[in-house]
Formats: sequence, structure tokens, C-alpha cells
Amino acid sequence: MKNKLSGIRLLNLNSPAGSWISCAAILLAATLGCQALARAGLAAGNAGALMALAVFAVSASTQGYKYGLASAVIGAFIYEYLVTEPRLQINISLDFALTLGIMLLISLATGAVMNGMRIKYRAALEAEQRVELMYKINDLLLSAADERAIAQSCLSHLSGALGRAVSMHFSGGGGLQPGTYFSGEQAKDRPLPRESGSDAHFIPLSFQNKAYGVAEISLAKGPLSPDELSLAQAVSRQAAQALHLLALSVQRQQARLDAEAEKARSRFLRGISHDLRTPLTAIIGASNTLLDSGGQLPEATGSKLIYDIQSDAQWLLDMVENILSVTRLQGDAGINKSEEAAEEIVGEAVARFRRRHPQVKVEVRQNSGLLLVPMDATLVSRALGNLLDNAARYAGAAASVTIDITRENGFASFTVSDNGPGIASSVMPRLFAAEASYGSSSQDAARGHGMGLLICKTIAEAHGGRISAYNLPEGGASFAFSLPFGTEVYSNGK
Amino acid sequence: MENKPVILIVEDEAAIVDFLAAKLESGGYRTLAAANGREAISSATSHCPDLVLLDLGLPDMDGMDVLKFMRGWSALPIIILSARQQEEDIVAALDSGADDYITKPFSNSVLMARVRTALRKGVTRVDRVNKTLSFGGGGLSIDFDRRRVSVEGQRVHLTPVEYRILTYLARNAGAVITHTTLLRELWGPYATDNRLLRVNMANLRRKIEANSADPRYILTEVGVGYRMVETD
Repeated sequence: MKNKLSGIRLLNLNSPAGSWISCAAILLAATLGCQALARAGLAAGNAGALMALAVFAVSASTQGYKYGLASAVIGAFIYEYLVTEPRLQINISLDFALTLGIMLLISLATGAVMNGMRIKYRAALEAEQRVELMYKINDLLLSAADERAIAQSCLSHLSGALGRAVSMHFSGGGGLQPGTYFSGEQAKDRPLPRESGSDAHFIPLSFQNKAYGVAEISLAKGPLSPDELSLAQAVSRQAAQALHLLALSVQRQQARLDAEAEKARSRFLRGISHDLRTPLTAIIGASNTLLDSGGQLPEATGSKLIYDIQSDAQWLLDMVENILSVTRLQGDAGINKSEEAAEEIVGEAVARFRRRHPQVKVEVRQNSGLLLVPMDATLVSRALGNLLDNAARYAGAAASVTIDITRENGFASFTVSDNGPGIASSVMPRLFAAEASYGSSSQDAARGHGMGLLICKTIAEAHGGRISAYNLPEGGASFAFSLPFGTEVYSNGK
Repeated sequence: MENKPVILIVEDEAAIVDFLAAKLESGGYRTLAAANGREAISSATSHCPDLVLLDLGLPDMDGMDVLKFMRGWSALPIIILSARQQEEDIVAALDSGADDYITKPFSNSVLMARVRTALRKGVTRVDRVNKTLSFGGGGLSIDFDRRRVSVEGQRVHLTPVEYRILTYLARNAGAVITHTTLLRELWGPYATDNRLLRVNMANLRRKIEANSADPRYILTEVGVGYRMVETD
């Protein structure tokens, strides 16, 4: 690991062999030096200083006190032997004792200073590493997109720095996802490091008085040192801050979505109110005319007005049913799926349709066995009703409608085909959008039937299904509404 | 004076009461009206009508409470009036003792048919069981004595479960039978397997209907249950 202090490198030969070798080498050099000085007659003060230097060098370059002390002793003897008069003799005298004592002191003092320096160096190195760690975590947190990223950024580095298992629990405060995350290779459902009888240290993750969770540090390897504790707390603070920022951005996003939904809702309501006014105008107008006429209207006119009131009222009813379907789709409860028989839903939709349009020919074809499809029966019935009504309106008086129930690729399909004029190519791309209306120039075309198709599409998609439309080669339009199966098809082997 | 059946209409919306009364009276019935639960109860107890049309959405009480009260002392036919897309309410009412339901807005033909069926309830059921019933202009024929079913003149072989479904529906032809009721009838009070019922119904339909998806005899009331067409 590169760090700023790497420039200062202490010669640190850690192995005992290496230490003895360097000790011997230094003493040898000093010995030769003293010998040379003695020969040259310059031994008087210099040899002593040279030997002292040697003892200092050994103490500085080796770990612990023993090499330094050994060199002090050996050095004193060498000095006595080579330099002190009479030369080449060892005389144990006061002089020698003093020399030995001073050498030992030098060695001890040097050793103590070196130890102190080593400790400070190590501390500085650790502090630098900690700062590096904080920078790294900070960088990661700035780019963390979700709760998991925040947890992982902090956990891997913190547990690496402490050498302990760490986990974080997010309580789900601030609208964030609750969850538990572990450092290292631990699997999600592995129990927390509490069960081996050792405790854990908990640090709350809170920022600006909002609690987001807690960090848990295993004490299996013993209690936390003050340095470890302060590191863990610093990382926890970072994590809490990142969570706070994430919560704020989640809230902002939600507010934006809510505003969008509100806008869409207002747009929808405006459209509906407009659409509702049209049939109501006709109903009020026709009934007013009947009331004011005092029975003076010709019978055919009167009947026609009453018929108009009827059909406009039916149209209003369809619209109301569609609106109710929409609210059901948008409700908090979501759609209510239950297993229904496809043929039963179609049978009922057809029966209902026939009561309204008795003159339209309807044929239902089913080429598969019983299809049990999970669906919200009311909504699907409404969707089929919309498709049938559309077919009747656009195919006109001689209308003939076919419904095919088929199974393809995990989807149950209901295909409603008519023998009408088909879908104009200009309208095709926006068929399922809010303001489309296709086909003929009959007066019904002006009534904006796009909503019915839009609702079919919404219902299909709410089930995970789809809807598509195309023109038949023999003329007429065809709408395929399909729903996915959740379950296997039952066939009765008939 | 003829003995016309008396129908009590329990509905708080005056316009609906108006047209219901008009239609029923033109169909040969006498009508009484009650605009809330309290009036309904007092009317029912003092006049003992032959049938009650009960709106579930009453201003002063839950329609279900009126239903339960009436069921507490009488088996008189009760048809509930409900809005569409409220199947849970309908099923709850049917399972609490209502005989049938009509959804608003009413189709007149449906209204008269349901009233007719409900009034027949219990009156001739006993001797019907000993007869042969036919449906759809003779298309479907059930001989209860000999336990034989034929469709378009051809003998049809049903499994025991299918036969029981068919005869139960036939004995209550014209009235709606909820899924729950059928399940209990076939498999006892603890039965809950809806899928088994659907599968058996589908098999039955394949045997007696020309087109299972366009049935003539057994109609589906989505979310509620099944209804057999009225007897010929």
C-alpha cells in the first residue's frame, strides 16, 4: 500500500539471523577503524567516538534491545583490547567499567528512542490508512444508488480495516427499504455473530435525529480499541448521511410521481366530463321535447325520441362501467385474480351483449379444452364487452361477430372479429391511445370510442397480458386480447 | 278480487320505485313500497308479502341486516337489487339466504323472469322432483325417476357428480346458485376447491351443450355462480 510516509524507510531487518549479521558487520567495521586509528596514532578521542557510533548503529538498525546491548558489551571489549593502553590486553579496571557502562547507556537510549519512533510511525501509518479508508468510502457513498450499495460500500471496507465481521440493519426509516446486510462472504440468512457467546457492539445510524438503522460489529475477537471504535463511528456517520440523502431523493421522486398522477387524473376527469355531457344533452333534450309536446307529437317522432333517450342512456351506462373499471384498476387493492374458466367469462359476456344487441349474429368458437385462467373476472368481462360493443357499432346493421378462444404459448387469447369496414390505417398507430376512433363515418364514429379500447389495453396489461388489433384479409377488424396462464391447462381428453 | 301476489319493494330511490311498481303491476302483481329498512321490516311483518325486492344500499340500515331479520322468521322469497361489479356483496347476500339478485340497471325481461321464478320457489318443488323436466324447448330433458338425461333426443352419460350438479340446478331452475352453495351441496360444508367445481362444470357443459362457450341451458353469472334457464 503506497502512502506518504513510504519515503521514510527504516532499515528493519526483522529476522534474528539478519540482525546478528548486521551487528557483526558493523562491529567488524568499527574494529578495523579503531585498529587503523591506533596505528595512525589518532586513537585518543576518535576511537571511542567510532565505537560509540557502532553501538548506536546496531541499536538503531535492529529490533529490540538485545542486539544493541550485545554490541555494547562486545564493543567495550574490543575498545579495551585494541585502543586502551596497554594495547592488545584486556585489563578489567575502572576505566573499562566506565567505557562499558557508557556503551550500554548509549545502546539503551538509542533503543528507547527508536522504539518510540517506530510506535509513532506505526500510529501515523494507521491514521493515514484510516483517512484513506474514509475517502474511499465517501467516494463510494457519493455514487451509491440504493440501500444495498450504501451497505456494501461501508461494510466491506470497514470489516477489512477492523478485521471483524460487521453487519448493518436498515430499519426502513425515511421510506427506505428495510434490510440486513453482511460483510464478507456471509450468506443472507446466516445468523448474526452473536451466538458464539460473544457480544457485538451496536452503533446507531442516525442523521439529524432521524434513525435509519444500526451497525453491528462482532466482538468475537475481543473488545474494540478506542481507535477501532472511532473508525467504526466515523463510517457509521457516513453511512447515516448517505441514507439520509437517499431517503430525500426517494421522497422527491415520489412527490414527482404523485404530481404526474394527479395531472393525469385531472386530464382524465376533464375528458370524461366532456364525454358525459353529450349523451346527457340528448337525453334532456329529447325528454323535454316529449314533455313540452303535450302528446301532440306524431307517434313515430315520439317513439324515435324515446328510442334515442334509451340508447344514449345505455351509452352513458357503458361509460360509467368503464370509469368504474378504471378506478378498480387504479385502486390500492390492485386487481383481484381468481381462477376462472375462459368459456364461462365469454359465455356471460356474449349473453349480456345479446340482450343489448339482439339482432347481431354472434358465434363463439373454442378449439381447446377447458382453459382455467387467473383473472379479475369483472374486468375481463368488461374488456370483452367493450370489444363486442365496438364490433357491433362499427359493423353496423348486418353485423356478425366471432369470438375465438385459443391457447398459444402460455397465453389464453380471446379474439373478437367483425365483418365491418375494418380499421383505417391512419388510426391504427393511435388505436389504443386516449382519443382514437376508427372506421366508418356513421354518427357513432364521432362518439370517441377510444376510451373503450384504452381500457381494454389497461386491463390486459394489468394482468400481464396484451392486446393487438389488425384488419382481416376478408375485411373487418380483429382484436386479440390475451391473458397469461399462471397454471396448467386442463384438458378433458374428449 | 283475484288473489294477486303482493310484492314489497324496498328501495330508497323514488324514481326506481315508480317504474318497478308500474312494471310489476302491469305484470299482474300488487306492490307495496318501503323507503328504508325500518319501514321494510314493519311492512313485511304486518303485510306478509309474497316476495320482497330488497335494495342493499338503504339509508338507515344495512340491507343485509334487513335480509337476515326477514330470514329469521320466514322463508319468503327475497330478491336483492344491487349494482354491478359488486359480486362480493351479492354472494354474501345469496349465501345469507337471499334467493336471487338483479343488477341495476334492470332489464325488464330479466326482472319479470326472476320474480316469476322466485315466486314459484317451494310451491311445486316437491312434485317437480318426480317428473321429467325439459329445458330449451325440449333440447335437454331430465327424467328424475329413471335418472336419465338426454340432449336432442340422445342419451347422455354423466358422472355421479355431474348428475348431481345438473339436477340441483334443474330443481332450482331460473334461480342463481352460488359457487359456495354448489360446493357444499356436492362435497359438504368444508369444501373449498373452486377449481374442482369449474372442471366438473366444464365437463358437464361439454356433454350437454352444443357449444360450451355459448351455452343454452346452464348460464354463468360471473363472480357469483350458475343459473339454469327456466323450465319449458
